[in-house]
Formats: sequence, structure tokens, C-alpha cells
Amino acid sequence: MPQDTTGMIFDIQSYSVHDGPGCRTNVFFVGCPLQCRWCANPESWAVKKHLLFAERSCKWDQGCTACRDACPNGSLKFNDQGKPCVDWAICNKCETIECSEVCAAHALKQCVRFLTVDDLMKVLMRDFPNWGSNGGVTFSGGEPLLHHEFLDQVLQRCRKEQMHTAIETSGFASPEVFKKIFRNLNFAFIDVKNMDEEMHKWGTGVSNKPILNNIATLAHADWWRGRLVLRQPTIHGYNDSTENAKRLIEFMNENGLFEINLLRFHRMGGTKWEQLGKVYEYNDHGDMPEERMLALQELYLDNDIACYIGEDTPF
Amino acid sequence: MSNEAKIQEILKRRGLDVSDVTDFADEVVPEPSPRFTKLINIYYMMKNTIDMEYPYWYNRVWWENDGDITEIRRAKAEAAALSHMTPTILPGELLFGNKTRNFRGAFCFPWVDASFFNAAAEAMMAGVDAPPMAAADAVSVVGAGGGNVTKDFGNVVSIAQKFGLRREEVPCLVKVAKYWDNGSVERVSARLAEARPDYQKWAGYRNSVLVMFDSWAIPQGREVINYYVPLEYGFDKIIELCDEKIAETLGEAGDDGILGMSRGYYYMACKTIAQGVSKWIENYARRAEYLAAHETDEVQKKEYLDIAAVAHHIAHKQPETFRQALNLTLMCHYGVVNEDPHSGQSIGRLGQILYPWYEKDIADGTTTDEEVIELLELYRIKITAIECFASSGVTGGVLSGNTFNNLSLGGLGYDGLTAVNPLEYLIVEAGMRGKSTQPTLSLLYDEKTPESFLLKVAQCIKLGLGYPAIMNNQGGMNYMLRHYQPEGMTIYDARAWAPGGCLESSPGCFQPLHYNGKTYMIPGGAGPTAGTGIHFTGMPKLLELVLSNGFDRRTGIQVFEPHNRKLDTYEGLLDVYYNVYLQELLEVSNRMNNLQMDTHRKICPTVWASLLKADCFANGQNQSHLGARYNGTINFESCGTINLINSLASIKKNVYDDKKYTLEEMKDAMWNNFGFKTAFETGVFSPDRREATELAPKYEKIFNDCVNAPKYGNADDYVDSILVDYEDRMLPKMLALRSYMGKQYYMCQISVSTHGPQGAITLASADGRLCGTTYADASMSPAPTTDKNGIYALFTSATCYDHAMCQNSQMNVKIHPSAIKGTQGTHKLLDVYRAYMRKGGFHIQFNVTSSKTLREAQAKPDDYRDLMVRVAGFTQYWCEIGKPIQDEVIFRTEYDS
Amino acid sequence: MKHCECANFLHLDCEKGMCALSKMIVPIDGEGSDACPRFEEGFMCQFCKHFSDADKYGIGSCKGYDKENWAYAQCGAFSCEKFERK
Repeated sequence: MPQDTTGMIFDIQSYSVHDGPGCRTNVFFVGCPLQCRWCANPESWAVKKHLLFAERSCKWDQGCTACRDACPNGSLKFNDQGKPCVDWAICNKCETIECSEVCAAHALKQCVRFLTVDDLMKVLMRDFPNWGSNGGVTFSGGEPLLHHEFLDQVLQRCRKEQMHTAIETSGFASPEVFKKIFRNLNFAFIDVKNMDEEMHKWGTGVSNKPILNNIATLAHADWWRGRLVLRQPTIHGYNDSTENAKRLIEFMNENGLFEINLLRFHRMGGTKWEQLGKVYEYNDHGDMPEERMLALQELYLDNDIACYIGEDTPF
Repeated sequence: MSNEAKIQEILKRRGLDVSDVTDFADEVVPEPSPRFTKLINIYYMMKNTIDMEYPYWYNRVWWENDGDITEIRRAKAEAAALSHMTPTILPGELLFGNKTRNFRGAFCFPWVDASFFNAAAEAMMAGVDAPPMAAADAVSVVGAGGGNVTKDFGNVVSIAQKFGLRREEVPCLVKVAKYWDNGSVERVSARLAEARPDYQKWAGYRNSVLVMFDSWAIPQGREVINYYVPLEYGFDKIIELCDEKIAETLGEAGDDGILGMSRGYYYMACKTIAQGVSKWIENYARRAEYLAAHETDEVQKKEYLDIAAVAHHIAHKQPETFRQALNLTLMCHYGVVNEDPHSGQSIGRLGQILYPWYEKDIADGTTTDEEVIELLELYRIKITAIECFASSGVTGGVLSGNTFNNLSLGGLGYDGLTAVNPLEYLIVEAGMRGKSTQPTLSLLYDEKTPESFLLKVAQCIKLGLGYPAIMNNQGGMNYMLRHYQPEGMTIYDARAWAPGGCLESSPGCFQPLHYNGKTYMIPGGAGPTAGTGIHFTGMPKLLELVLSNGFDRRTGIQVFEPHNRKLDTYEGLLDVYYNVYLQELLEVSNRMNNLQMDTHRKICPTVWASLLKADCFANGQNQSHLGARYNGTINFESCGTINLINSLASIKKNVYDDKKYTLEEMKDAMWNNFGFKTAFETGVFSPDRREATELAPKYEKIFNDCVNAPKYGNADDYVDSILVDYEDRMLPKMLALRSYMGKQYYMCQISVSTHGPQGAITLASADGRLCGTTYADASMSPAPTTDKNGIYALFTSATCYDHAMCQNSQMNVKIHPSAIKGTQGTHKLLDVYRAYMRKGGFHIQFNVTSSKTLREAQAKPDDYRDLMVRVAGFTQYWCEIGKPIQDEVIFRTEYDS
Repeated sequence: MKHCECANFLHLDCEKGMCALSKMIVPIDGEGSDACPRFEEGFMCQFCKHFSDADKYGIGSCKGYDKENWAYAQCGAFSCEKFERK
């Protein structure tokens, strides 16, 4: 029953303007095989429902106590001031997240939704007339390739409807899965976090070999007619060395690739890590100096590679 | 070589199609002209000021002509008033003219309403008699509040908490007001209203603020002016034509036994007012010559003499240059807005009207685009400075201080092709360089509009000025053809429509202008005020009254007869809402407004506006006698549509469908504000603040269910179908009402700024909105923070019904500047507004300012004197709008990436 | 004599104006409101020979037109065709 395949989606963002050409709808999948130390969306790692606690929306300071009995497992308690605190050791094991149902301020949130292909297509068909001539849908995450069965069906439907499709992916998947998905895509961002395998493992928990292999295969595949832009979240002290850039340039030139988008790292994910009860180690370092970004851009440009910084892209 | 150029080269070399790759970065907008900068800096320092020159002369000449035929008497009074005002010309100006002698000047109209002044006369005179203040106290505080004079200082008296009046002019005001104690429009219409058996009902609506104000408060405006007659003929020729017409019609009734005789009086009035306006313009010429004679700087002297030459010419003849034509339209505009308390006197499609002169001057090489842009920048200051004195509650509360002189761009010409011309690009450019609140710009979006113009408009929006707003040209035309069909609306006239005021779609027509040996079909207004009738009605408040059996718990007034129904079905609830209470409100309010407007047209028939408006001059009848081509222009103004729809959805879901609560439980929660403090107790009028009381735990479950009930703006059919049902029920009600013009009504769905005060009088509503908080603005904007599925879902909800059923709809969207950065961002902004237009949305406008900036500006208004935001249908200086509206703008959902 | 009574005074608002000669913004009241030596009597009813009998509020009589009527001293008279200096 292929129609019943569901995708686990934690957000669908419309009028997404920095995730591919034109105006787009961006579908964020849950779950990621990588665990990057700087990740901005750590809540999307695990393929399960989970709680988000948006402290800034919480009305405890205005006298709200609506969640006092909301957790059947006793994970929600008030501190001395009356502010709710989550015991994440308990909460992370929870699969039901019924506490989110009592919070009118939506400070306690459960975002994961199970959508069928039809459900998602209904949303995309609704948004289709809004994209303009060069916009479309982008699948992002988390890691969309984790949901390849669902995504494959969605992409086939998109292709039938002549929607422009894009992906933002780590590229970490088996060659078979990679091909199955990419044959139906028009545009792709694939992250290359570090050219050094050990460094890649340290930063993300996985090897970069399958990723680089997939990219190289794609670059030479006759079934790929899309546009490929490599992406790199550029983190000071991790992957902003000239040495790393040169190795990437070499790799790109070998494979005839000529577009890269450097995303300047900025500390944004901290709150979400806290919300999930995790410690965020990039709280106080990793920010990229502006001049280092420009120096890297120069380096790519001098080597015949179109290098875009952040949102300044020609699409 | 720039990095950008290098990238382009690489992409080209690599074989990527880069035809659409242009500059990534936004183009730098050139600085405005030094003249603009100098004058706008003066503007920023100006206090709103009223003075007595106009009222004195109007009053004097009116009473000296006691016994004359009203329209002639009024023409004499107006002509005397205009032609006696002191003309002010400032050094550096190229365009001359002002409403009054002051920069942000206005005056009161005691013949419209005098009770306010008469009631305060003694107190005002006591203030005059008080010893003068020490010099140190005679200095006002500039900054917060912009140009508003919110309290007395030194020798300045604050009127309506907005205008300053010199203390030495107070005795004159008191004296003039006394003449009108018994005979103002307000008094006469009130006497007539009191004669109606249902007057007490009306008093209940007004005293509970269910209906916001009276028609006489701003009896004219929300219409499109028509500059055709003076531009085609010039004043000398108009006067000549009047003489011919007087000879032809005075004493002749023709076949019309009722109004035939009025034609002669009409032309006599036209002659008088044309002479008055001509003399008024001549006064500027004389003043310019006087200043030139005293000027030692040769450059400035020449500029004064140039102004004198322009004034001399346009006081008599058809203009011969672009500058003359522009200045003539400006003086015509001042003439109209000085005729009555006016807001929303729209300029219309100025670029299309003035194109003949622009075309010739450019072809002749007598001017350049840069010179034209400079004039258009200066024109912006002139229009920005137009102030309106209406009754005190109206001026600040409803208008937020703006007078909505809207300038339209685009649309279609007489030939059905795009009407965009090169001059319209310059109008947008002047709006980008010369940042100022008025004229606000409106693009009449049509699929035929050139792409480059659409992008130019998007570039302008990106500057965060709130303009241009985007309106649907085909939607507007469809509305014209639908609503004015009984009056013979044609496809040609439909193409000439334009928004009057913020977005009150107004009928227009094209007329043949002869200039430079050619004939141009130029557009202009063809109907009287299109925003007068039953004024802002709080639709959620009405629902509250249905639930409270007609009793207003806030004021203790029994506003409606108790319906005493059990309301045990949803349909039963709707029946009382639509067929009992709303029906009564419409019928009673219509009668009262008809009496007010009929009194107005009898005491204060428009004279100058009746010369200008299409067909009046041809028909020989003023607007009061249906002289204009289209007259079905009277409306019902709704406020809080979305809170009503969301409240109905919540009640339907929680009470009738899911039966989670009884209606009594729902009411109990509403009356107790769901256990929270009210907005008045917290001082915050947005949904962000809800302080619990000890009752909060009792209501938290029902509150949560109300907040989570289906909300408009999420493409949720459960609630959107309620909106469709609402529109379907309202339309036939409108068509059944008859205005004082004897024509059908229509729905005007804009809130201006009334969603603040009307939210303030509404208790908590079933959608989870708390007592006193501001309603969702406009008619299509979601309630703040309730649109969870993004802007495309919002567009889907908004276009669930045919917008051409009504005069307008209104959608305000806040976009974070980063989402539309760069030239790609400009395209993406166009994509989003085009998407809404293609779905049939009537209107969309953008605030491109972050909430963070707005919060900073709220805390430090002095640092943000020039910050502008888009409120209901207009752009206003942030520091000049009230806090409830500021809060509402801050908490609108911000779309970013 | 005050700036605001001078023929070179250009009205701006209820508390200030501009001097057409110096191009400076000048106050109507208080410090700095006194006219300079280049003062020229302005165009106001109070300076007109047809205006007389003003009471303490500046309300007096205008005999410049066919019909006599009341007038007020502060009223601008540049545009009045009957204005004549005293």
C-alpha cells in the first residue's frame, strides 16, 4: 500500500526564499544520521515525537500554571519562582507528549506530524500557484534521504505535476537511495562539512567518504540533469582553513563542479539545545569573521569556482 | 573586478545560462534633492496648527448673504474664505500652495459641528483671560508624538489633542462657533434624528461605541478627485463657459420640474468659486513678487519670480508646462480639501493625467527627468502636510492623523492597454528618494502591467515605507461593473476606477483632454464620497451583544431589545446575529446617516468639488443633486471581521459541534476575561500579554480550547467556510439598503485605525482574544500569531470568496527585510504579491520593518522621527500613531526565511 | 514689535515662523521673538485703517466693505483687497 507511506515532518515553511531558486515551500523532515556539534536544529535528530519548550513564549511570569499536572510521568515541575522546568531525562523517553496539549501559549510544543503522500501533495498543490515561475518545493531537514521511500513517491508526484524540486541534504546515504531520489530532482544543495575524513567524523559523527562518492557519482551521472550547488556551513576553527578549501577546490575541479555556497556560521541553535535538555558546545565559539569569509570567497573565485556567501546567491 | 562580476564570468564560462543573473545587491537609491531635504526637515519640526482666517471669512460672508439661494451663498462664502487666506511661500520651494497659511495647517468647520466649541467656550475664554505664562514655559516638547499638540503650552491651546491654536485667536473661534450653535449640520441632523421613533436605538449604538462615528464628522472624501475641467479649460475659460451656461439655463427648467431650475444656480455658484480659486492663486503670485522685491539673493529672487509667473498663468489659462500643470492640480486639491472636513481625497492616477505635459516638455527639451523627480519630491511634502480637522475623536482615533491622499499607478487606459507611462516610473522614484507619508501610492495591478514597473514597485516597497500598496485592477473593474451596473457602468468607465482614500474603490471615467495638438483620454473621479454611510461597526462587539441578550456589560446600556432566545443551535445564533440585531442596526443606522448626509448636502452643498467631478459641469447639477455620473457610493464599514469569524468558529466548534462546553460556560469565561487581567489593567493591547488573576485556573481549559479552535488564515475549511457564509449573507443586505442618494449600499471592509478603539470596547471574545485588546486589522489580516501555516495558506484562506463582491478587502503583511534582500529578493517580493493578485486578492500591503526595530522605536521615539509604518490603508509616521495600534503592528506575524 | 507682526514673517505653525530675510526660524513667543531693526509692519487687520474699536480680545470692527462687520486684530490681511495701512 504505497499510498499509506508516511513521512515524519516537523515543519512546512512557505515563502522560503533562501533554499533554492525563487519562492519555495520548504518541507523539513525529522531525523538525521549526522550529529553535528553546531547543529541549529538538534530537535530533528531523533526519528520520534519530542517536546520543544519555548521558554520565551511561556507565560509563567504572568501567573500561568496551566501545565502543572500536564506530564503523567512527572517531568514538568515548577522551580522556586514558579517557572516550569523539564526533566529531560524523563522527557526524552516520552513518545506521547500530551503536555503540549494544555499550553495555550504554545510554549510547550510537539511539532512532529505524520503526513501521507496525499497529505503532503495537498499542501504542495495549494502552494504551487504562489511560487512564481522559478520557485518550487525544497526538501530539507533533518535529513530527507532518511525518508527515501516516502520522498521517492512524493518526488514522482511532483514530477508529474511539473513542480520544480530541490533538496538540502548531507548526501549521507547509500548509492541506491541516493540515485533513486536524485533522478527526480531539479536542484540540490549537498553539504561538504570537511574534506578531512577524521575531522568530518569528529564534527558530524560520520565519515565523509559516502558523501564524496555520491557527489562524484552525481557529477558524472547521465540521469542527473539538475543543478548542484555544494554547501558548507563555515565554522571558525573547524573548516575555514585554506588547506581545507584547497582540497575542496581540487575535488570540485576534478568533478567539474563549479558552484559553492558558504554559510557563515552564527550561534543560533543554543536555545533549541537547551529546550531539548542538551548542552550546546558552540555557545561561545565558531563565529566566522567577515574578512575570513571574503578571503575564502576570493580563493574559490581565483580557482574558477563561483562562490556565494550566505543569501547573496544568483537564484 | 568585483566578486559579483567574477561570479558572472565563471558561470558564463562554465556554460550556465546566466541571462537572468543581474546584480545581487540592491541598487542604491539616490539621495533626495537638497530642496526636499531642507523642507522635510522643517516639516519634522512642525506642529499641527489651526487658525481662524478661513472660518472667519466663511462665516462673515455666509451671514452677509443671508437669504440667498444656498449653493450660491455657499460659493460666495467659500470663495471669500479661500481668497482671503494669507499665502505662505518658503524659500527653496518650487511648488506653491498650502491648505492654510501654516505648514501643517487646518481649521475647524463650525458650520458642520460647533457643539464641541460652544460647550467649551467658557473654559476656553477663561484660558484666554488667564495671565500669560512665563517665557520658559512657552516652549513645547518636540519628539514623542511628532507634530501633535497634545496639550496646552505657552500661548498655544491644544484642540482635539492634535492641533495647536494661538491663544489670541480663541475669542474669534468662540465668536464664530456661536453663530452655528443651532444651525450646524450636527445640530440640524440631530433634531431630525430625534424625531425618529428609533432614535434611542441609535443613541445606544453610539454610546456603546458599537458604531464609531457620525457621517457629518468627515462628510466628504474617500473619493477620487477630477482635475479635468481646470486642466482642459483654465479659469478664464471656465468663467466664460459659466456665463454662457447662465445665459442658457438661468430661469429655464427644461423638462425637469424638480431640479431643472437648479442648473442656473449651479453655474452661478461655479462662476463664483472659479473666481475665488483664481484669486486665491493670484495671491500667491503677488506674495511671490513681494518676496522677490525684498530678496537680495539673486537665485532666490529668480525662484520667487518663477513662482509668480507660474501662479499668474495658472490663475487664468490652461497650463503650458508640466510644472504649471502639477501646481494647478495641487491648488485644485487644496480647494477641495478646504471645502469640508475631508479625509481620503484621492489624487487618482496623476501620472496618467499629467502625462501630456511631461511628454511635451521632455520632447521639447525644456525639462529633464531629474527636474521632474525633484518637483514630484516637493509635491510629496505638500501632500504629506495636508491635515484635517474633524471632531476630536475622529481626527486622532480613527485617522491616526493621516488624510489618505492616495495616488494610483498602473491599471488600464481607455484603450484597454496598460496605462503605465514613463512619468509613473518617476512618481515611484520620487517616492523612493523623497521618503514621506503622502501621497501614499497604490499600484493597480493588472496582468498587462510591464514587468519592469512591477519590479520598480517592489523595489520601493522594500525600502520599508509602506507604499505602494498593491490593488487588483481586474478585481476593482469587476466590482465597478457589478455594483454600478444599475447606473450604466461601462467597460470604459470601469477601467478608470481608482481607490479613493485608503482603498475605497471609486468610480471614474476618461475625458478628452486637448493639449499640444493632440487628444488624450485622461482619467478622473466620477462619483461623490465613497466612504460615508454606516460607519465603523464592531462586528465582534455585535456578537458579544447577541450573547448578552442585547445588554452592553461594559456601559450598562441595553443596546438592543433582549431577543430572549435560547440560542441552542449554531443556526439559531446566526439568525439572531444577522437577521435580528445586524438587520436592525443596518436599518436604523442607515436612516440616521441618511439624515446627516442629507442635512449636510442641504446646508453645505459641495461647490468646488461639484465643479470638478465628472458630469456635474456637463449636467449643470452639483453632487448633492446627483450631478456626478455614479452615485451608489454609500457604504457600510465593518471592523473586526476576522475576530468575528474566529469567534463564530470557536463557538461552533466548542459549543455546538464538539459540545465541550455549554453556551453559558462560554459566556461565563468571556465575561470573566478567561481569568486574565484586561488590556486596560496591563497597558498592553496585543495578545502577547495575559496576566493571570486567581480565576485563571478555572478558565484555562476553555481558554486553551478557544485559542486552539480553528482560525482564519490557515487554509482550514472549517473556519474559511464561515467567512464565505458571512460574505454571502452580507451582500444581499447591502443591496437592499437605500442611501440618501436612493442607491444600494456595498461593504467597505477596512478598519483604518478603528480596530484599536473598537477592540477597546469589546470584552473577551470566543476566539481567545482578551478584553480590550485590538482587533485584527483590516479584513483579511489574520489575528496576530494565529496564522500557523505560512503566507500561502493565508492567501488561500483570504481568497475563499470573490473579493469583487465588495468595495474592498484589506491584507497587511509584515516581512522581515532579510527575506527580500538583493535583486533576487525584489523578484521574490513580486512573486508573492503577484501570487495574491492572481488568486483574486483585492489588496495587499507590506511592512518591511523588523519587530525589533519597532520595539526600539516604541521605546525611543525621538530616535525614530522619520520611521514610517503601514497601518490600515496608509503610511504614517510611527511616532504619530497611538500605542494600541503600535502594539498591534509589532505583534503581527512577521514572515521571514 | 514682534517677528510675527513683520511683513517678512512667513507662517510655519502655532509657535514659530521663518524670517524671509534671514531665512532663520523665529519664535512667536518668548525669548527671541522680538523683531530686528529691519522690521516692516506686516499685513494684519490691526494695522488696517478700516479696523477700529478693538476690545481687550482684539475683536473690533471692519468698515472696509459695503457691509460693516466684526473682525479680529490678528487676522492676516495680505490677501484683503481693502487693506490700507493706518
